[in-house]
Amino acid sequence: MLDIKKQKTNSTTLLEVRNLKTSFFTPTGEVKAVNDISYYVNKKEIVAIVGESGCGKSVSQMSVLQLIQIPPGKILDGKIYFNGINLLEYKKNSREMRQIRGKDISIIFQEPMTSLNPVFTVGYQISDVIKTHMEVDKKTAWEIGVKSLEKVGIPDASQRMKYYPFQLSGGMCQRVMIAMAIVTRTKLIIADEPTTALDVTTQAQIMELLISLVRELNTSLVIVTHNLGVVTRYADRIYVMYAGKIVESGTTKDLMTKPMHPYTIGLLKSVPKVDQDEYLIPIPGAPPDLVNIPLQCSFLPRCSYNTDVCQQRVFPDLRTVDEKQHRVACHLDLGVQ
Amino acid sequence: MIKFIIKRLILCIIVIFLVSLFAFSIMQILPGCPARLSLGTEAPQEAVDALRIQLNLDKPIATQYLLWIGNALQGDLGYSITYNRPIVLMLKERLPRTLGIGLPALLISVVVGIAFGILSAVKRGTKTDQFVTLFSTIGVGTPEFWLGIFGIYLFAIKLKILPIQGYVSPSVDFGQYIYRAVLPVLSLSITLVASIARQTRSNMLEVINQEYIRTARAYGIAERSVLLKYALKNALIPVITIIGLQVRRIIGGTIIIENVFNISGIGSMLRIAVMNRDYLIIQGTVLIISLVVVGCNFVVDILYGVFDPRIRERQGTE
Amino acid sequence: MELTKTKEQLFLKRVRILFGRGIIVKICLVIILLFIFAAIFAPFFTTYTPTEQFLMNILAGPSKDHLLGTDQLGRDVLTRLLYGARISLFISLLASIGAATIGSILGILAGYIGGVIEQVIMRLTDAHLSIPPLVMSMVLAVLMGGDMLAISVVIAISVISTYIRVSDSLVLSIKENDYIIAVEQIGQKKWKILFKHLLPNCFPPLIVIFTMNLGVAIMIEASLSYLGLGIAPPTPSWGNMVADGYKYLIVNPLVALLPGFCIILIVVSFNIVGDGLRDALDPRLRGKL
Repeated sequence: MLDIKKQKTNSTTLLEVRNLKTSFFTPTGEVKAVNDISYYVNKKEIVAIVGESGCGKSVSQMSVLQLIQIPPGKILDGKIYFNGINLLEYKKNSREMRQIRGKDISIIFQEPMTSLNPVFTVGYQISDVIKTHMEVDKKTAWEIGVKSLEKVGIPDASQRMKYYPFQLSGGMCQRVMIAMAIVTRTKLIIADEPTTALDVTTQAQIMELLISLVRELNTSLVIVTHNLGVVTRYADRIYVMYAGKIVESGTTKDLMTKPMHPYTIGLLKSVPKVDQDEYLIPIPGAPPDLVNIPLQCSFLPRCSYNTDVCQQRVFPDLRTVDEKQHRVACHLDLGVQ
Repeated sequence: MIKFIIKRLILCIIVIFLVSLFAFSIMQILPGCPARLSLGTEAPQEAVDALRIQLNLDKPIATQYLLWIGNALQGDLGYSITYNRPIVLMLKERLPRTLGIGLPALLISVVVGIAFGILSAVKRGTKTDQFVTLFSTIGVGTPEFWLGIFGIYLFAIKLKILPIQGYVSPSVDFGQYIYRAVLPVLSLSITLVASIARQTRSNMLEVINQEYIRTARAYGIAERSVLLKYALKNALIPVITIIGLQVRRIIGGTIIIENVFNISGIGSMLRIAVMNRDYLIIQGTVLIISLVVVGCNFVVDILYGVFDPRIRERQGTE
Repeated sequence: MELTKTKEQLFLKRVRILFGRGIIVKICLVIILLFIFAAIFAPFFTTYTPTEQFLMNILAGPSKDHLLGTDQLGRDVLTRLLYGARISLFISLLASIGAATIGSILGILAGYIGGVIEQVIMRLTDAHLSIPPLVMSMVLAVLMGGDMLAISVVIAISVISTYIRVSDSLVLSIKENDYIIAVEQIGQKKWKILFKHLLPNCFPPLIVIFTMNLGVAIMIEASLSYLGLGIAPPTPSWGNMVADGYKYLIVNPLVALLPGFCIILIVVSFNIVGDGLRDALDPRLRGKL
């Protein structure tokens, strides 16, 4: 047994990520996808990580489970404490990591149709996961699988177990994935853009399902998304990511009422609100190049507040704002309503 | 599933029919009168005319075709002009020899090729991968006749451990059969192994990068299971089609190898027939060959349907 | 800050990938060019003619006078290899261009027009494909004779179905693309769609296939000549040189083995360059071509 240093834990913290750095080494250079981020998830908490495509939010979650493809990727630095143990001390394909994947931490991907193997039945795939993590025989695993499908609201579950993924709709496939995630009494579910690939009505259904299950089973949930509107209803806390870094974090209430970072402000402005009659204001510009990262704030080119201070100083560190939990990485003090 | 099979079967029949038309019409374009060619330039005109009537050459073309195809369906492909023997009999004699080289080559190539391909894909970037890739790239560009001759030079002449030519049937003397079949089978296999390995490797690489493989890993499935159970089934599906294509190559290769190693199989019969313009042999052999190819493709299609549920569920309802 | 790359920059990037990718692709390209150069300027590289016999010096090994030795009739092997390059390269190039052009046109039309025409063309292609190319070549060669043009036509006919199949499926998959449907909705004329949108997208994969099939054509020509059904001696073709040299394997193996080396070298080079082209043009095609 490896002598892993156990960190003194706060009994309510489930996952703590510290100074995570993940890069991809491509022919064009080193892409710093995750450039030193730290966050934590408490037990029974719902945390959201918000940012646009390419900001590193998915890569950070894949790093937690060490699912990054090496090469060209590499987790350069950082600590990932899960239940007090630094997961990065385990090797990628070690038994310990494999036991955590799908059992203690489960991840739900964005494209449910392609995330399931097309030439195996849904039932086969679920029962295989069950057999891997629980000491049961094939028949019992199948039965547990049927029950899990029922739990996620799939009608006629025992028949559906014999279906192939292409015979199911996108929403159904995502339900299957959720079933797979909860079947082994997971402590933490990571949902990486779980509803982006689905149509609007199904989006709402799946989100409701996910949240109700998470609350019922006392599981923590990390939702990764680019859609701020989706998470403001459910999340306890939000982290905003930009260009591989966290630029603002805090409780949902704080971020909604007192956003401090220009990017967060911009995101809020570009989300349509039913009750207000405003124009949508998109954030101008395009996502940054993650290979040639300038020393200054990476949001600078698109920031409407672009001041001299911002031009001259390096990337701002996260600093705490009034309440202990609200932090922002900005040189300016924008206490905007 | 049944609908799928029937649909495929109908296509096969259409294809074989078209091939028979082609084989027949090509021979009509052959210059010279077959009867004259058979009997020689000195033969008297009456004999030639009599032979013409016997060979149905005086009848209209459509009738000739129907007669030929009709007989063929009953197992009679006519007589060879050169040897004056029933063609079907000659085929029966020579087939075992061709199969004695072709079948082992096909089997070995498929097994070794797929194994190499998987190994190479799984160990991507390592020395193993580089070696297999190098081998496949060169193997695909090497003509079979050269491989055979080089093999003869190396093993028969220089090292003197294998014979130069000849074929012995396994039922006559199994030891001798193996001894004499090693070089021909190897020469035939190497190109095929290279081709199959290449295709398997690229399919496997593509599959390994798919999202469903990522899911399997994300749920703690052991790497070996991920590769050999989940990835392989997906990767093999296109490989099955490749194997179907290899049948074409192997037939071409067999013709050459039979020539290099002086084996009296179907390939050499075809070659001699071509040189002697023995049109009935050519027609019949082309028909049989295409039957084999079509048959193999049919089996491959069915297997494809068995392994890939998407194909049989969708296509059956088309 | 540059947000988009222009067409030129994208093209240059692809060229850089092709040539930067590996030294191997560059080496193979050089090899191909050397062969072509040697074939075209053969008379400048050697003082002998391919049929000149030196009966006092048959089956000799490499020497000062004959860098690669002589064959069974005393002819200089190097010379025959160079002239043989002419034959093999010319025939396979001609055959491939012919097959590619006509095959692609047929395939593209079949794919685009669809319906009965497509079914007919594809069934005929299926039938054609069920006859191995070597068999087809053998049968046709006897009809058409043994001169270079005839052999080129024979080989072209034998390989044409690959092009028909590939271009048909290319068109089918491009047709499904949203932008084609969008353009059709706007009301663009069918012919315009074909030329402006479909064809330019077909070119890159077809060029890759063409490069790779050049090797196939060379192999078929060599095999035909080896079997005695292609280019006949005394005209040197790498294939018939091997056939001739086979009888004298014990005395001088080089005569039979050297032409084979040439075939391997150039076919492998074509394949590697084809791979490089494919990677440079669209790495997504990796699994399909």
